[in-house]
Parts: sequence; structure tokens; C-alpha cells
Amino acid sequence: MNSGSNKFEHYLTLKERISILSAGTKYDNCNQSSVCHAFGPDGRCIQLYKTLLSNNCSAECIFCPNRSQRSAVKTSLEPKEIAKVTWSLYRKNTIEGLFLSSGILGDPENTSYKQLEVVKLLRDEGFKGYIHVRIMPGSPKYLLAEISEHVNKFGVNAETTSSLNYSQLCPNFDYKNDILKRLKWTQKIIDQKRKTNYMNRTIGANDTQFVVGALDETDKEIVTTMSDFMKKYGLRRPYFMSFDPVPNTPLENNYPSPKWKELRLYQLSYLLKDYNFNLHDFDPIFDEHNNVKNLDPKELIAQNKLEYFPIDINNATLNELLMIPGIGPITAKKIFYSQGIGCEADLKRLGISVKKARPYITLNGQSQTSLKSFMG
Amino acid sequence: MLNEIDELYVREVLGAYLEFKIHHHSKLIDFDGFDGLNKSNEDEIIEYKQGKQYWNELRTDQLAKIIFNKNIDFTPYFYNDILQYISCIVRHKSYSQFELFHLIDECNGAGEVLFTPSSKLGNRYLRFMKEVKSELHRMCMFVRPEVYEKILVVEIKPTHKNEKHFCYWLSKKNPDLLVGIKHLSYSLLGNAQLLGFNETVIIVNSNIIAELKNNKVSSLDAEEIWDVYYNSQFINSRRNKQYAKQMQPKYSSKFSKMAKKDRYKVEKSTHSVTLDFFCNNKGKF
Repeated sequence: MNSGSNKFEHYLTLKERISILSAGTKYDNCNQSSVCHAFGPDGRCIQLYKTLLSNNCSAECIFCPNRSQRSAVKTSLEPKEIAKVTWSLYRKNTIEGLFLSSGILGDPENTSYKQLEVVKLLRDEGFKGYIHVRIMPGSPKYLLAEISEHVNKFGVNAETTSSLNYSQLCPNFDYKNDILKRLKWTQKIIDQKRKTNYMNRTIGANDTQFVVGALDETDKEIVTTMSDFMKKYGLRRPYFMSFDPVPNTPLENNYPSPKWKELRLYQLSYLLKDYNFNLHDFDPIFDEHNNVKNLDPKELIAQNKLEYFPIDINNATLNELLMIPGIGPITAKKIFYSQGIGCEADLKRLGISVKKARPYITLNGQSQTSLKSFMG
Repeated sequence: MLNEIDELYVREVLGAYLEFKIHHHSKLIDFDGFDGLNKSNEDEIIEYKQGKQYWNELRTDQLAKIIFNKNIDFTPYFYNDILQYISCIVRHKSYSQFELFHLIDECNGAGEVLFTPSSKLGNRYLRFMKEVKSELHRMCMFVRPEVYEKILVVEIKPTHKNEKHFCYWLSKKNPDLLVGIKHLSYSLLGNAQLLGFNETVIIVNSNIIAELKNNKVSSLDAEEIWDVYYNSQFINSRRNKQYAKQMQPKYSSKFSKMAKKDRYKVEKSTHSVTLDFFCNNKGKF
């Protein structure tokens, strides 16, 4: 692989480099805890210092603003500089930790080694905050193991659903070898770490990110891949990045992916992860082109399974409660462990969206009557 | 499980409640009123102290299980919720010991009644709990301390008694530094074990915090770097003013200057238009 061109490198101050490299991660989602320290003008929670080590990437991923052939200001931060900025923001209580990604600096091994340098430096200095590292496709196994000694979460971006799509998106890498094999390795490392409870630090489950809408793949393919990854690689938290065309890239004339798609895909991932839904339950949420409809997926599924409803809220199992729109895992537990719900006001106090749940529940023998029931 | 600060608050309440149940005849004196206790009948004080010693031998969750004895099938998770509820209530500015005891009595051993109240009192106290919890959460989100070589210092004015909990939270986040919290009437020192004390949070004289402040750490200007970083995260095509205002509401500004600035950007966007901008773009308007 050719190393990236340095012709655009010129002297940049630390603040300019921070700005450029953090902007390179603004589409990455990586939230970890309930304490958000600020919210951006777009309403997104800011809780980690997100940065690239370098945007001087030698790969040619066709959707990426950092691709090697694209004219842009290329720069990087030294591990010491990243550590210093992280400490400074952490002490000021503006962040909970660091999210570290990078362009490929020559080759994946070199880049991962630099990432390791950053996290090692921080931990050696006594940093107790959260560290999330996006590792490079094709990183060697020994470096993954070493990185895992210092981080709270790490994973490699799958970007898409198949080898064929991946070879179009990222021609420098191989999906099976550089992505799937790495996901398997990270899963093994995580399982081992969780057994030994290394340094009392809980290591998060495997994570990955998909680019939505860059190629012609359907949403159903993305959801199927996500479900497969959950089973095969212990994926718990997939992230989705809506495709936005970047000028001077091969996909610059493509249409951006609608932002609501991201939200619907996240909702589906939660249904798989926390609500015990299966892939075959999702059929009603896809349109004729196998893309998700812009409607609440849980409600669509419930409307398609009317034979299960209404559910008697005081005699329901936890799984049955989780099927009801407006009831989440926490509120389901509260209902389940309470000694009987007397009225709708009780449900409201437990934090349940009664308006959503009402058509699907029976409370003290009473349920909402629908036009359908009159029609027989 | 409860942290050491919550333990302090909750144990006192549960112990006193159990004692009160045994000695119906005794006079209930508000917890903050230890002076009042000293002025009252000496026999009562002895009785209270003996009781306190007895209840201190039990763990807090054991005390909760004695009081909320109808919850035997409940998970430890639910007991923790009850203990957290009480810890929040006793920090509320309008909380009264009498009302809390009355509320616990109303539960008649069933802890979930606290979360699904049917009485006016129960509803009011559920609101109290939420108010205290959300104030602490906001403090953790938006307070920005001053950073010195050995200590983080911050001045706070919480509506409820959340200062100790906030100090504990910040101390756990920065275990290698002392944490100084200046409150209206007194000061708190977090990570006091670094100075040889047994507890994490202790009450100190404000002068001690002033003495511990030496050189301000200024190798990197965190405020400027934060501005650069914050601006870099803005995605113009995803601007959602209404949602952003809801997430970073007006009251966040009162916690720190930095949060105030962030709130301003939520309102007016990150781009600042200066006189230079107009001069450089003369004729384009």
C-alpha cells in the first residue's frame, strides 16, 4: 500500500490540528455512560474527546474524507499531545474519556502501535477515565491483545454487510480477513478479559460501525448482518453512520442517506439486544424494497401480531411485557416486581408511555375498544 | 450498592424509624436538630443513643428488609432503589422527617408503594426524589472545576443538599487529586484519604482549601481547547435547535461559565460573526 502524500502538510498549531482531527470523528458515535457533559448544536451528547491520531490515510475508501487521493489538509497528533489534551479536558469535567480512531499511517500495524502508545501513556499516568479505541482493519493479533489491556472498549468497523460490498467501499482491505477475523479475535480477547476481571476494569462487548446508504445494500441486509454479528461475534452495540457525500470523493454525487434511518436502525438494534426480539419478527417493518419504514418498529410489530394482544399487565411475564409498545426493559421490570398495577396513573408514574401502551394492554379486566373489534 | 455518603444518610433515617416504631411514646426530633435533642429530656437521648448503637450493627439493606418486609421476593436491585429513594428524599430542601416517617408507615411494608404512590404525600415525595436526583445529575454534567496542581476547586450553590454527593462523585472520578468544594456555609474536601483521613469526604475550613491551591495548571488552556473541540463536532446538516435546547436547557448555564458558553452556541450556532468578517467580505452583502 502506498503511504499517504504529505504534500498538504504544513505547520499547524496544536489547536488547528485538534480541530481538524476531531472534525474527522464527528460522525462516529461512541457514547458510554449516562453523564453527558455538553450537547452539540445538533443535540448530540458530547461525553468523550473524539480524535483521529492522523488523517493522513494511505487507504482509498471511496466514502471517506481522509482517503489518500483526496486533497485536504493532512495532519496528525503525537501520542503525548493526545494524552495531554485528554487529561486537560477530563480534569475540567468536560469529558468522561477518550475515543481514538485514525487513518492508516503507512500500514495497520504501525497505526495500531501508535494507538497503543497513546492508551498506554494515559494509563501509565494514572488515567482512570473511559477509553474506546477503533482499531484498524488488518491489525495484528498481538497488538489487539496489548491494546485490550488498557481500554474499556475496542472494535473494528465493518462498514458494510458483505465481501463484495466491502471491496467496493474499501478496496485496500479484505472483509473476511481484515474485518471478520479481527472481530473474532476481539471477541475472544473480551471473553477472556471478562473472566479474569482484569484490574477491576470492565471491558465492553465487541462493537462495530456500519455506513448506511453509501452503497445499494438494503436495510434488511444491514439488520441481518447486525443480528449475525450479535450471535457470532458477541456484538452488543452496533453504531450507524448515515452516508453524507464528501466533495472530491468517488461518491460525491450520490444522495445522502436520510437521517431518520439511523434512528430506526438503532431502535432495531435495541429490540434485538434488550427486548428478546428475533430477526423474523422484523418482517412488517420493511417496505417492498427491504428498507425500513419511518415508523416506530415496535408498534409496527405489535400491530402485526394482534393475536398476542391485549396483554393483562398484572399477569404478564417479563417477555410479554417487553412486547408492549411504550414499555422498555426497566419499566417492564418495575411492573413485573410491583404488587399489581391499579390504574393508568400508576403506569404513568412508572414512566410508561400510556398512550402507546393503551391499545395493547388489559388493566383490571378492561381494555381499549377498537373499531376492529366492532367489525369482528 | 449504596456509596459511603448515601449509607450515612439512609442508616440514620431507617434506624430512627425502627426506634420510633418501638417507642411510640417518644418525641420525634428532626435530624438536623441535634441541638434540640440535647435540650430535650435526657432519658430520651439515652434511649435514642442505645437504639442507634443497636441498629448500627445491622447493614443498611438489612434495616430496609425489616421495614419493607413485604418485598421478600424482590431483587437486591429493587432494595437498592428504595435506599436511593430515601437518600434523595433526605437531601431535599422541603423534606420533613415527620412526613417521611408517615410515608414509610403508609407503605405498610411494601416498598414499591414509594414508586407508585396513591396519596398526595407519596406523589409529592416521589417528585422530591426526582428533583434531587436530577439536580445532582446536572451538577455532574455541567460543573467545571478550576484545576490546580494538587486540587480541583469548585464553588457550588445547590438548591438541595447535594454538595457531599457531588464531592464524592468528583473525587471518585479523580482519585489522585484532592477535591475542594466551596459551599455557601462551609467547604468540603474530597479524596481526604490522600491527606491521611479515613473518609473520602470531610468538612473543612475554607482556608484549608485556599492553602492547598498553589499553582494553577496552565500548560494547556482547557477552556480554549474545549471551544475548539466543541466547534469541531458540529454537523451543519444535522442542526436541530429545538432538540439541542431541550438537551442543554437554560438552567445548565448557571453551573459554570463554560456551560453558559455551550448553551449560547446551542442557541446561536458555533459560527461567530465578527467585524473582521464584514470588513473582509465588503461588497458581498
